[in-house]
Amino acid sequence: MDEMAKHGQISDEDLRAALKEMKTYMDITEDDLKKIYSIALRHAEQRVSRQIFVRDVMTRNVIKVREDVDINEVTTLLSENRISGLPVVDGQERVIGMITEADVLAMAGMKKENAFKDVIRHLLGEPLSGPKRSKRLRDVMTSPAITTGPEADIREIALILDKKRIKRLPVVDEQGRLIGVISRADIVRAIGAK
Amino acid sequence: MKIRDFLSRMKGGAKSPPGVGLHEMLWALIGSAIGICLCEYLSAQYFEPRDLTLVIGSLGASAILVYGAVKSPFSQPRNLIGGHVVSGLVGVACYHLFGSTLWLASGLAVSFAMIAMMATKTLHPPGGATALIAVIGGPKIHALGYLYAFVPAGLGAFILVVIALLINNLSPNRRYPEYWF
Repeated sequence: MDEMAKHGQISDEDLRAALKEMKTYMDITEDDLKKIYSIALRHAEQRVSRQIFVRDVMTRNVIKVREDVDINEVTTLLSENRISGLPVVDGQERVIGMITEADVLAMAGMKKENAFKDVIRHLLGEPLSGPKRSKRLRDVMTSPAITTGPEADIREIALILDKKRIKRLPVVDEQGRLIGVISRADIVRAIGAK
Repeated sequence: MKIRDFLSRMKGGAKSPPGVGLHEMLWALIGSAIGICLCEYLSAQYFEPRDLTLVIGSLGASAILVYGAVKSPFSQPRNLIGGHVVSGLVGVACYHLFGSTLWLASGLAVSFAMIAMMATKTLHPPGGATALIAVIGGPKIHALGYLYAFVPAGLGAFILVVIALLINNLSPNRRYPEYWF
């Protein structure tokens, strides 16, 4: 009996006791209840076996920036590491925002909604309307950042990335400190490896 | 399908669910007594003098469900009120369309009422009786026309729901409803 309980199995006596404990008339037989339970259990097992945790696939040595660095440093980091975004952290390593290529472009004079042809126009020397000229990282970054924890399922992350049209999420511990980044590439790799 | 398999299904095999305690019976008794008494009292006092009625046989069946099987989907407000109104409408329509052949109208009223309740997620077994009564209920019921679906069927069910809300929730072991819609 204890063996059964350990494996998430339920005995007929357990079900009968449970039905009795409901006190009121239950419109179901023990047999059906058992069937429903075992089907639900099968679904739960399938879900757990398909689950891939963020902690197993995230990138751990994250390139990040402090909020007080110069924006040029960010541009250099982005281009040298061939990445399109970075988490921004405070003195305690807590994630306070994200800085992306789009943010840098916005600062350089592009509004986020500007198209590629506007970039070209800008390069050719035409002025743009209403540019964001700030040089301070904290004014340029996207804040607050959407974050996730290490125990999340990558399928949830995939949904968020898709819905918010972003490419990565910083992974934080309970104190909000940066412990990794989960990117589209990480998810693709994890699914490919499975 | 093999005949043996077909026959073996008639054996059943599951155990019947456990019975209920005295406490539960008491609350069922109080609820159903108040619910039906109130319907009949209002009916005699206010509705029958106006050639209307508030009580039909199917409300007795509804009382069993709503005060005796509180948790059943059949007993929830959506099913109780929706089931009676939908079945009432179908029943009256069947009487109008096929009333010249009562045996046909009766069968169609019940079966179409069931389909309509299934399609609207309002399945409520007493609805079958409501539909049947629309056909075989006699001249007084026939005279109501489509009003029958709302008074007595819908309104009677509504009163049972109100009493169920008040009485069932007094019992420490009960909660009503499980859901509204």
